[in-house]
Amino acid sequence: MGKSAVVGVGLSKFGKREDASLRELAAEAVYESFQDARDIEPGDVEAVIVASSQPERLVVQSHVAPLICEYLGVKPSKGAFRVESACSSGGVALRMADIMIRSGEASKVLVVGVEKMTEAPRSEVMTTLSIVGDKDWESIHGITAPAGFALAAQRHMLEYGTKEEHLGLVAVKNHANAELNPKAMFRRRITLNEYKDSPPIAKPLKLLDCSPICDGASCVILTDAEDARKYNDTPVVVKSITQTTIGNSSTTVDDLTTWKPLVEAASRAYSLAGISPKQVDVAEVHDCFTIAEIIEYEDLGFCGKGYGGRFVEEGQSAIGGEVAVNTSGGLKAKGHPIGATGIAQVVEITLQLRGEAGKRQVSGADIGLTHNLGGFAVNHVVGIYGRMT
Amino acid sequence: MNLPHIMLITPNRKSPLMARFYENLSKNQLTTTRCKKCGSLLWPPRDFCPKCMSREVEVTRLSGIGEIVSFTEIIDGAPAGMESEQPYLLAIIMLEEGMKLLARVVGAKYDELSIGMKVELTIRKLHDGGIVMAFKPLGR
Ligand SMILES: [Zn+2]
Repeated sequence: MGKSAVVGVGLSKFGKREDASLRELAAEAVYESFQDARDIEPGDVEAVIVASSQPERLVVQSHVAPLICEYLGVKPSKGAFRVESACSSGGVALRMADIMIRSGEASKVLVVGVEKMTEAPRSEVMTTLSIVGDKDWESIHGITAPAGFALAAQRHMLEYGTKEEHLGLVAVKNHANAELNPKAMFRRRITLNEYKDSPPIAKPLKLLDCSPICDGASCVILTDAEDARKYNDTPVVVKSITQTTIGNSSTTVDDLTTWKPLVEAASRAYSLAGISPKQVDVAEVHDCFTIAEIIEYEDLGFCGKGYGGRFVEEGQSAIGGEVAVNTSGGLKAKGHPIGATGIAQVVEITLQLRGEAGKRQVSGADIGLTHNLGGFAVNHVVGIYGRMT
Repeated sequence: MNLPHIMLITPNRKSPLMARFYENLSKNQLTTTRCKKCGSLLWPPRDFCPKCMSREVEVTRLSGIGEIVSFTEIIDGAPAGMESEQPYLLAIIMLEEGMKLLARVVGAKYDELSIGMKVELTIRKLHDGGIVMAFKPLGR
């Protein structure tokens, strides 16, 4: 079976975007992706896949894939549809696009991620995020996204001696990277002391452990790899995208500190791509909360189990380290507009593999990885990308 | 005009399965279902058995005692209707029967909790006036 390749990428500015509606944000990213590619126009795409988690509650609009098609003026002959997989919606949308191309159903697919989270009242947004979990058995007790990851942090600290400083260093690194990313929501460095002084949200997690409520959109144009050079001089090949799902509660993962579904998704992705974790040069991983990035270093095989805290402390995940993680600023500092995140990760990896990441460029980046997570670590998408040779 | 524009999070209590759970809970009993065919203990309660696909299940009472696997205190960011309850404690609890669940811990402070601590079932009022399960330190 053939492969798919990325021939165009686009990203809206992330942040509180009172100046743009949902469809306008989406169009901002789409427009940039068609400027990035050549000899291809929106009317050429055969299918449009939109990743958006909860537009019904956040902007009171459903059926957003056809809505965005109409705004773009496209009538895709193989259809348009939306993918919802909570925070992993974007990763799943890309996986569907890759499958459509490899199966021969379509040769040009537009993948758009979008979420507008700052319009609804704050308590409505908090409810919206809480009900990603199981309403009948967990949301009624008032679980929040940070609380779910605080439960993992508590265990990781007990079992492996991970410290508050380790969590803080993830935030410090990702903010430093975001300073170099013009599209990031928080283009400013933070200090470890600022981190320590930030207010508690769900103990032991603090405000600066958390990714922000954010508006933004992302876009990837995916084509059959055989035609990719027609549309871009430096296409990026999708080597593999895998997904695992195990349930929907904070109690679903057997072990709060080793996310087995992630280990499985990663292992299959490495094997399909024919690479080992040590070959990954640059990775965008799902740092919705700092502890998640630490567990992900371990479960993706960048370091041994329990060493995640030391990995960041030694600078191994910084630009110039063993594997540069979240060069974009990650969810923490670039921002986390839910549906846009998984696709924004591929935008960053594409720029890195092409050598177009500007001041945050990882030198000699050949292999890139993305990890997109949904729910309380119950849904995982892992993608591996490489330059076309 | 004073329209309730935010829907509050409330559990389903109307299906026969859930109605029975809440009726037992009102008597301070934590119950679930067990498969009559293969004996599997199901949690949360189900009206069929995912292991053998039997629909013959029976209600069974659990001890309501377990231990804390992990815990947190929510200071900010609670869903609509729960803001005034902040701060509140949440814990993953491993029941004596071997199943894990998430619930609030009441009657204790954050600093008093620890991983491995024993807790027992209690009841608390939800914002809609109905009851939900909660846990408290054992014997307190
Ligand atoms: Zn059975």
